[in-house]
Amino acid sequence: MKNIKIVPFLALALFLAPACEKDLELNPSQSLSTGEALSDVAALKTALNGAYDGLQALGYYGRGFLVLPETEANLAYLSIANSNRYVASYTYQWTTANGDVTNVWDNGYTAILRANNVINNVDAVPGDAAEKNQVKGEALAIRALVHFDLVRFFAKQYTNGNPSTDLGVPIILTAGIGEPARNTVAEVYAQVVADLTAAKALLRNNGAYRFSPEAAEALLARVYLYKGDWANAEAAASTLIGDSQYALADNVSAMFGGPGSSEEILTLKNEASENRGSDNLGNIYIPAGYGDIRVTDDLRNLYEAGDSRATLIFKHTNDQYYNGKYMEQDGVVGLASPKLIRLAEMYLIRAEARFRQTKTVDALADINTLRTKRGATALMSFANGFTDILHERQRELAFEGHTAFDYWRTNTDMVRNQCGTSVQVSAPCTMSATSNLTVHPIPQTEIDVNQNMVQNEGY
Amino acid sequence: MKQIYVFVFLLLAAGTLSAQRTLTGSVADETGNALIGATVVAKGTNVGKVSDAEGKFSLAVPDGVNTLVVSYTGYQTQEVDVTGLRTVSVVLLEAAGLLTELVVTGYSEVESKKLVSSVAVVGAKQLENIPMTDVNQLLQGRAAGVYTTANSGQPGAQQQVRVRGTGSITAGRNPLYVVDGIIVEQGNFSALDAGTNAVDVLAQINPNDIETISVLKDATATALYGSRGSNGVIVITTKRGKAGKTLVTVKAQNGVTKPNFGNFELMNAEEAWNYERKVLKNSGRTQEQIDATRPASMLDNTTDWLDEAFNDGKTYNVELQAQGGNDKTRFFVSGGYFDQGGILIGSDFNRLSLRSNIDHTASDRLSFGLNLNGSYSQQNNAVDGNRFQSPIASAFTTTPLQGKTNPATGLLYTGLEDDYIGLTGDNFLYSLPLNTVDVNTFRLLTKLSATYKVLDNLSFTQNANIDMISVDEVDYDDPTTADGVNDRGNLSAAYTQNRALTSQSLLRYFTSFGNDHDFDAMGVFEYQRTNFKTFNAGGKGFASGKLKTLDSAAEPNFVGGNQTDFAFISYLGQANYAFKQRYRLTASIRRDGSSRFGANNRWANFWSVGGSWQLSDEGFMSSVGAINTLRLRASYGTSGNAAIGNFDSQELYGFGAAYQNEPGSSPAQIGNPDLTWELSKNFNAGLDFAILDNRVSGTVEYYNRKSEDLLLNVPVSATSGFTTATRNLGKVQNTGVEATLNLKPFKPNRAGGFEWEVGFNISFNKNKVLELPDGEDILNGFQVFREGEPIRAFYLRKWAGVNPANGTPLWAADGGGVTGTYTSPLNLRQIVGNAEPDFIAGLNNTFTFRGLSLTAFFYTAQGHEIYNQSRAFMESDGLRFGWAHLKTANVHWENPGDIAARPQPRSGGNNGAQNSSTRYLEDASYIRLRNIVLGYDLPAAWMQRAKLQSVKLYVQGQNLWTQTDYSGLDPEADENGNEFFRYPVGKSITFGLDITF
Repeated sequence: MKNIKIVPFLALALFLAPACEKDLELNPSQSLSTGEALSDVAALKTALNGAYDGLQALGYYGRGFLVLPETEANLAYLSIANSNRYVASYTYQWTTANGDVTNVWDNGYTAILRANNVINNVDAVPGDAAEKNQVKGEALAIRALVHFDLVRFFAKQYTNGNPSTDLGVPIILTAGIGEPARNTVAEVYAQVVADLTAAKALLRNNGAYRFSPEAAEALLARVYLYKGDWANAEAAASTLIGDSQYALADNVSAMFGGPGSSEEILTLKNEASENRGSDNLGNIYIPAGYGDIRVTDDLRNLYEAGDSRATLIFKHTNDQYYNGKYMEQDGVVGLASPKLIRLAEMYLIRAEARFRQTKTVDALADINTLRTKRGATALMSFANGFTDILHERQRELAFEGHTAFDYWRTNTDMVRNQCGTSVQVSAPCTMSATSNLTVHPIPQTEIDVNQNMVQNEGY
Repeated sequence: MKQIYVFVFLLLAAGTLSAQRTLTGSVADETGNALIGATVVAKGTNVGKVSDAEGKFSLAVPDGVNTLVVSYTGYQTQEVDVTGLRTVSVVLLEAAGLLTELVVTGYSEVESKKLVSSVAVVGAKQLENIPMTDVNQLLQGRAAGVYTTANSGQPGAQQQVRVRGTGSITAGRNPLYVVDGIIVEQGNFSALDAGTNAVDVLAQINPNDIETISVLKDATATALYGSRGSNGVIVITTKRGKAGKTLVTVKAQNGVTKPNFGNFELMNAEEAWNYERKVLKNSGRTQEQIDATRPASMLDNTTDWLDEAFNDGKTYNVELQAQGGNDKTRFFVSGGYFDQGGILIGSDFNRLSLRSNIDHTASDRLSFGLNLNGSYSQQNNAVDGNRFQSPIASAFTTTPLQGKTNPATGLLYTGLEDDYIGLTGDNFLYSLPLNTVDVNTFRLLTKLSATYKVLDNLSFTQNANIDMISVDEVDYDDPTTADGVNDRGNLSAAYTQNRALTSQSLLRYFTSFGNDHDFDAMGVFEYQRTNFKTFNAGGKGFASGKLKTLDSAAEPNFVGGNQTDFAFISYLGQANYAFKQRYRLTASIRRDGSSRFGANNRWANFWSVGGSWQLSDEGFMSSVGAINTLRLRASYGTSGNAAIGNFDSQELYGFGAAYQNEPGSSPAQIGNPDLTWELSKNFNAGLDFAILDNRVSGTVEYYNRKSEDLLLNVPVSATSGFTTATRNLGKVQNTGVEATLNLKPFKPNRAGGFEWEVGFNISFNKNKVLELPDGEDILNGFQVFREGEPIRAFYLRKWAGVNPANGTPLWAADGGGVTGTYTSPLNLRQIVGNAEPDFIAGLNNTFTFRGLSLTAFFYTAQGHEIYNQSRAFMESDGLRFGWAHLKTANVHWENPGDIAARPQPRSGGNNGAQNSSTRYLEDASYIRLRNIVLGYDLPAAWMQRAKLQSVKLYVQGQNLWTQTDYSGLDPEADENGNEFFRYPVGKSITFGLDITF
């Protein structure tokens, strides 16, 4: 009976059906569920690395957030032949859809989420208390850093507005999708100070590439300065200046040859394996890369002969001047580990805080400690008042992401003395410190989805 | 157990044990050639036989049966009266026109006149010998309701296909592909390269091996594919052997493709030099400054980069096909080598493909089939995107004022020299030959099929299919080029393997009762499991470009890899009923389970019902002699779209972020355990007709396809750390009308006389977003998703021209009037266009006389816009100083009072005039002579002397003529309607020769 042949076929079909239903429950091979990913201290340490990685995003400390405060000011100019990066920031043609601005917002809150998931899960997992404290402290400090960066970027400066009513940015302390409204500038600063103070108590020093209690203190010094809390700024800066583990570098060129200088309090370490190629930080500045953003006479004229910091600027064969702070690291062109906080800034913070408290002699001493170390002559007095301190900050911290903020928070109008030449893109030659354009627009993408979000004035 | 089966079958067999007589006969065609494998059935019974190698059969006819039904694929079925006869000779007539062809719908095949569903069929005649790499290119304009566009002219690049409009916003929008009954993979499997030029695995199938392509469009057809059918299904059937004399065909083709830039024209060096000096002057630079920045010496060493980058591409194709067999075994084998050179230097595609389709009838009850298709292709990809070496970006944007050779050395610039002012810092003429991107794809598509007839009207088929794809690729950057200099040369290698296994079990049953009732049914169980694996590694530090292996690297650079899986389990049932062959009803149900869906929604049911009415067979119509066929059809049903990521429903932490070389993790996606398929509800109504002796025939159809529960990446507040979350929200509707018309204005009276055939199809589709989350707009680049508007609605500020007073730009302002500020609120944007055409149409004319034939195929798409972003870059009023410029940029505002289209060019641009606005949005309607073929079949008399079956010579042209107002490279853009420095599609001419013996 030939018909028997049907039996194996039917058997095949009938046995196959139930056998493969379990195949519908498949799981990915590269990812874990959130519960599994945050289940113990080791897992949280991994998640904390993810938060540091969030800080390194291209739109944040990878490049954007360090470059924008320079292209918006007068120490750098945008070459007329350029790769079309940062044009809006140099010309102040902001739109609410601006990619650089949107990236700061998006990358910032992504890092905050990563930090929050660590902070809010660490207490519940088993593990060594000291280890847990360290993990939590670093995450708190990262959360504070990002909130501080967002508020100074998207809101009026604390010292140049009404912080108790000016809108800051939403404070985000837990994971989840919502439509949060903007907290006031004062509320954001209060959260930043609270997080940093808590972090300081939990942390121990693990080197300059991660948040230490010293790094939290140093960031507090900067936050107090931005708040105009001169006494606390001076005190915090003094703690760092008095700390024997830090010393001003003997050689600025060597300091900018790579990470690991004695000055560094917090450095975001980039490994050679994190090479972004043409998008490495330095490549926006140097001829081997895009070389779009070049050094103005405004900055070059600030240096006197013998000032070692002038050697960080180099002249190229096309007779243009370029920034040499981020030439290469580990043999990778343009790769850099940005020094987020270094000791020189503490001297400058203390000098400014003392100057504002009319402790002029002490302030002058701080400035001269730094100048002498850099091979410049000591100042006899603040002949030009606060401008002398501002210029010293520019000599020292140019291209490190401070310049525009320094103008706005001190209510100083920004003037581009080198303006309208044939080598640079046409752009405004002055910018009032009270202009709406000094406050960045809230990204359109956020306005579109968040009913509680209020746009900044003028956009 | 055995006994039970034996018993059951005995019972069933008993029905046929009655008195009978033996009838012998033969089946032949009109010219007397024996037809082998024709089916001969005693009418009203299940008794039947198949004609043998000589066309003969012998059949035991039950008493009382006096009619035989004789059928053969491609011929009209005939009923023969055998009352009192012992022997009979049957002559079958060839079936005329499409209306009686068999239509393959994937799981089954249906005679076209019995078809209830909406299926467009493209036959081998329209597919053969066109020198294109993949089937999608051939479908353009051939099937109503199918919109195919090419975004890239790179040989082998992916095409975009939409069936009856765009049914989804963020989930997949491509149709499902089915080859010989099995769902197969499509798209790009390259691990290193995902650009628009990336190779499509569908290019691994040789179009000349295809017998027909059916496009399934309505619910009764697509519901059979359940959760994967809603974007339409493209069913490809490959050629199979026919019993008879072995036919061997040799094909050879040789062609050339010429670059074509449409209306796109760049300034030459002198024009660019003058233009840029003008830009400087307008910006208040002194004469001295101008002479310093743009000295006359720049004109000493210039380059026409487009001319350097593009050249003629050569196409070769050689192929051997053989088919034949006897009543037991039939075969089709083919082997082909296809080589297409790109028009852009450094780009090409070649493919070696082999196929063998074997069918064996072991007994009256048992038959087997084996399809084997192996192909290997190599693609050299002209990488697009952000790489320095991309000749696409460089050729279009590098200033002509840059010489290609360094006058100091007489050698090509590398691009790294200080005096090289090319935008990308790389001279592709130098780097491209050194930096290679090789993508090698191997695909094995093989299917084993066994069918056992349990009863004469009950059969069981088991299919097993393997679709194996492996991609092996190497990217190399030479140390002397911009891409390689940092790493002292680097190499990336990747190996990817995708394996899809399918098991399909089908049970088919048919019966008739009375004289008027026909019933058939099908049950299917299908299981598909797919695994994707890739690993890649890179090294850096290379001593020589001749050593392109990882072993030659001085140090390792990176290593990576991943894998992913998905599975589908499906149960399917379909039943068809016909009354008097005039009234037909069909119903189907499919149950799908998928690993992609959230745990709360893992299983889905889909269903459809449809019916048709053959009006022309009604008695009251018989008096209307002019009407040959008139049939009404209607269907309604559901299908789904499961084209989302494999694990989109899960809340996940990803690993890959790292700090200080230690592993890091970060939230990768927000979970949604409710996540499930998109649901599509389809209504279709159609009318098929043939009149005037079948000289005018066609189809008109209306459809309404509503897609619900759209899988949307809904934008969320970035304060959550995410910018989007996937949810089932939103509705989209596509409604449309399609018409197909076939005419025979001239029909020859005798063989070889003048004949003219016309095929025309036109498709109107109206697309509308019905519902979005909270009714809120979702921005999509230059477009917006907004309720009540089409999916591809352009959303831009309205350009209001140039201020005649000072040459600055103007835009439409709020509440009427104009404004000179772009930075005012962006909600001034308006819906200003649609990237999808109002209608598309194809017109095919074939003229035949004696051995000569001329075919001209026109294709048109009308009423769509393209955002010409290339022009936004190259007509940017001085913003992109030092780039190449469009010739049109030279005409601009010069003096107060000028009414100009373009603002005065200034350094840094003129007040943001280049910002996105309707200034760069253009009507892209076009008509194109897609294909024209002149062929000659050598006279039969010569052939007989030469002992050949046939010899055909032909010459054909592709894209030879285009009518459009669009100013860019090509009016044919992908669904985003955004043109941005892409690989243009060329014009080609091909000579070919087919010899059959």
